[in-house]
Amino acid sequence: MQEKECQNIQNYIEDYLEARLSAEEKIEIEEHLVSCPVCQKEFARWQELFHSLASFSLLDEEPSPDFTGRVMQKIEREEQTAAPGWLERISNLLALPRVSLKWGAAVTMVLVAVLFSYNAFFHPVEQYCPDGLTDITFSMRADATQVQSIAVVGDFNDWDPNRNPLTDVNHDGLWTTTLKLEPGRYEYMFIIDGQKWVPDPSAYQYVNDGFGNKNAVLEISKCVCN
Amino acid sequence: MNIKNRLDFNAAHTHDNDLKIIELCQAGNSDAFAYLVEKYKNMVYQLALRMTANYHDSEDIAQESFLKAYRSLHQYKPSYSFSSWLYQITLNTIRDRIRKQDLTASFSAQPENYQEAGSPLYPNSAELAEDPEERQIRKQNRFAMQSAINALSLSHREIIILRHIQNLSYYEISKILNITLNSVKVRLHRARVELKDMLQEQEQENKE
Ligand SMILES: [Zn+2]
Repeated sequence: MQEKECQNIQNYIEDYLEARLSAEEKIEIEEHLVSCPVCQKEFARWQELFHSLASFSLLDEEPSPDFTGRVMQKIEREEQTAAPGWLERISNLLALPRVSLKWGAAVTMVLVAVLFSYNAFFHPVEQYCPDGLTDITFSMRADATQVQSIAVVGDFNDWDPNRNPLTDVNHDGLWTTTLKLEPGRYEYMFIIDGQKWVPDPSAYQYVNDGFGNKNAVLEISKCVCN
Repeated sequence: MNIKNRLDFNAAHTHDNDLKIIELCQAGNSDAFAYLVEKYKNMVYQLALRMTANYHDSEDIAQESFLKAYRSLHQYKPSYSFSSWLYQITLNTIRDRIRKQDLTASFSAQPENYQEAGSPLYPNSAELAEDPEERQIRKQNRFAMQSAINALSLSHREIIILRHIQNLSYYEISKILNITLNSVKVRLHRARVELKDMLQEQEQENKE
């Protein structure tokens, strides 16, 4: 019987680590893990795989600096050898001036054009919230009989453990706090009872903190109005 | 609105932007294409780099993929995101080369080879400043991960990289690979199990 339950739990470990489970399913897994060393071990292995992959994904290499220039050169060469297309013939017919821009300048112009087309012509780019802040809720599940306090610390609060405590308002074991954050990339951790540092188990990404632990990573792209 | 919705909103936003650029390209303004190259060059390059673990080939593959995309821009359908379409083109370029074994020296199983600058796993400048011991461990982990990924079958390698290195959603992956969401799930699971077992084996060997 126990074995069957374990198998069932282990089938959901990947979904758990990818935050694809409902709150109830999560609790079910967590409750089983607490009491089952076999599944704990299996869970730890999966967690390690996900952490290693997340850390590996943080390597960001770039192609050589003149990459775009070289692609555009090749395109230009191809265009020149190809016969003029119908559009070109029409534009010749209409005698439109064909200005050849260096691609850098062209990119800027195109970008400006695209950005402006989103807004009323005279209106500046105001697509985003006036205050530019995004509500982010941090949450962690913990038994209030065993834990006195949880705080979130990170790049957004100078890693100050006193600034953003989590609370379990309705005593259901879910501790939360909501912060208003600017767009950006933040590393953060939870501190339990003022001393135990733990990464957010539901973070999408992790990174080594240089002290042998992994910080969770939060990326907020541009804020949009609700 | 939660984070996920925001990200989706931004994805839609970027999709509209891309469409405008593509229209400009299709209208004969080839210079506009540079915007798309700038925007997606790192994505394409990193996909090639993780798939082949080879610097030189990856630059080449990335160049070729953009040229192919430009040439077939008239076939692009706006129901796809441009990035998904570009992923498909890049994957095809990579598959072609791997099939023809048209790759220069493949990833070497010797850690010595990635210790020097210019190697794909060489630490970046921020890491050079960190504790040498920490750096060594990180390097070893990366090496272990890249060689394990390289030992995966082509389809497993693809799905692991799309999901975990490029951080794409199941939905995007299903679009790119042209398979159902359920197949994404099944294939991803098999690939992860294979990868997990391989890394565990490596670890065992290192201990002995
Ligand atoms: Zn169990």
